Amino acid sequence: MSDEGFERFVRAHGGSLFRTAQLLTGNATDAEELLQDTLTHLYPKWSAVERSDVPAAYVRRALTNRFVSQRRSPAARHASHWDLPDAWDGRDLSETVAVRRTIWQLLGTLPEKQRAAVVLRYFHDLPDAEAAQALGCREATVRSLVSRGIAALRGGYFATTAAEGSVR
Amino acid sequence: MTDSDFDGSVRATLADVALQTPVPDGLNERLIANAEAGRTVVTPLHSSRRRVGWTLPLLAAAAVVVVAGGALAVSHLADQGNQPKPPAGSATHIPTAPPRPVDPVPDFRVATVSFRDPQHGVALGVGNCGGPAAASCKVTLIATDDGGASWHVLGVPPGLRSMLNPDDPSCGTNGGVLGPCVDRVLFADSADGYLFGLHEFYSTSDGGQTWHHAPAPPADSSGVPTINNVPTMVAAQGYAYRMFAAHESSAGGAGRLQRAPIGTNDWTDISPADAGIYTSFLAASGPALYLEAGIYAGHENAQLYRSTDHGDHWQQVGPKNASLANSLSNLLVAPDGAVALTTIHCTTYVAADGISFSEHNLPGGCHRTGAYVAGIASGTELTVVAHPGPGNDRHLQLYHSSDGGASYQPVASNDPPGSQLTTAIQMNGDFGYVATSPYRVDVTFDGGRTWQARSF
Repeated sequence: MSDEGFERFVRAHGGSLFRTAQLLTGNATDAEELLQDTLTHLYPKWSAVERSDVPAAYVRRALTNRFVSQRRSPAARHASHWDLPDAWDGRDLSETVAVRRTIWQLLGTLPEKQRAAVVLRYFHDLPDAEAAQALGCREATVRSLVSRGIAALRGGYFATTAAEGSVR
Repeated sequence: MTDSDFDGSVRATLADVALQTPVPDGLNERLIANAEAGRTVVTPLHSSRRRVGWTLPLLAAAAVVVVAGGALAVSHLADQGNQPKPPAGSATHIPTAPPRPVDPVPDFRVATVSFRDPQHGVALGVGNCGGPAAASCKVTLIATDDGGASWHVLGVPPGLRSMLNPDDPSCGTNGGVLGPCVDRVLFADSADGYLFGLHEFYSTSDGGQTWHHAPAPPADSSGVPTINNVPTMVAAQGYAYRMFAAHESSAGGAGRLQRAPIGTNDWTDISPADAGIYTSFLAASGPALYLEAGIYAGHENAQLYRSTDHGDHWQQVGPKNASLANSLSNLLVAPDGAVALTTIHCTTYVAADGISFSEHNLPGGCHRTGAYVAGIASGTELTVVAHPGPGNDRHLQLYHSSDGGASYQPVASNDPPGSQLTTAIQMNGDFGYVATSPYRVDVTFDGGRTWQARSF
């Protein structure tokens, strides 16, 4: 085990991995816990991580897999904490911010695996094969998860905006 | 907005959130120190926000809402004397240590808690840790017979892995199962209980002294494993129901709904034809059984299926002109057969007869994740949880209706619903509970007006 290598890796990639965790969990506290869980689990076998082609990708896969494995029921998903970026708070929202705020909140309603697939595809731009590795499923499943996730987001978005329009 | 525009908005949203997410002060040093010490728990980052430090494994505890929905119903039904209870099958019975009192369980950290009535509840988690690392903790099942005032240990099958142990991430990892791993519990009565999780299923008929390891259902005809998503169980009127959702099939949801008389492992498939079980909702009370399914089986909308004979026959019911797809937040059945649905758009649908739904919206608009029905005592009495308003994202509020959802009144309460309610809440008339931290559950005996903390 290389303590020095582990520390160097965390200092170089901790922030980036934290942001990925934030996109998955929706809030900073759970993001740090997810990242901590992942790194604590990997630490005893860090030499294996270092031998991988791209250690950062290895850890990201582990983090995503751990997130997906921490399954929640739809009820728990409903009640979970979902942070809004501070810059999005306030009453005078531009249309762009309003759209992103709605999409971000809807992302929290997706099943974990769909949400992870959307993040891997739309934030990390991972190809199907790499996303499949991270999610522990087949490439066809990744495509299906992304398709379902985006369809759910789109449906929820238009339902929300239609409801807001009817209120106005 | 075109599909392409929407895709672009999703990309921009994720990038914007990532850019605007500040990295907490001292994050890297904390990560390094905790990892080197074998610790998986971190100090909450934003205590000033009155945010409960709720760990990811604990969030799974909210599954109890589904489990308890049926379990609560059991209390009304288990004593009706009509439980079919054939002899146990040819199971392998695994002896475990007899129950012993504890007060409290050292280091107990809950993953799932459920009550079948105001006095009787169970909690599954880890405890008796041999060291600071989570890997040293043991899977622990505890029970209370006095509303959480005291807890005693029930036996568990030997060799169970902990869902809170970072070295055993098997609960939920498709294809990565390392060993027997459970993360859910349901007790239909003091003797008959179930421990279950991805790829694993155990049952007991003697209060946990021995456990029957029931093999996982086989793959379906297309070879798709039928257990690779969140398993759900409910129990009512002498029957246990288990639903194993599957989402690996290109044809859509290929899960199964099965039934067995409580106390047996005689599981039979009662899935509605073409239901397409994916991340479905399941609720039961008396002979009534409701299943929300179909969204991934080629249907545009999810369908609500209703059975009044324990799942032998099904009919499609549900609110007309309502899209439940990706919007249903919870489904509950009352002891009198009334059913209530809520959505993330804060719409409630209530059917006193289980068929004719009335549609209502919570007052004050819909905020964050919408409404969630936490309890239904009858076709007129129900309790819904929702965020009270904009700028109050971290609070949840109980709302009570006495007219079938036509109007709601906020329940004035002390904590936890006002400020700390985070997950797992179940109301059954005046009794309710909510898990607010890994180390305690709050209970109410007056409909949510006052709450009492119970430690494990």
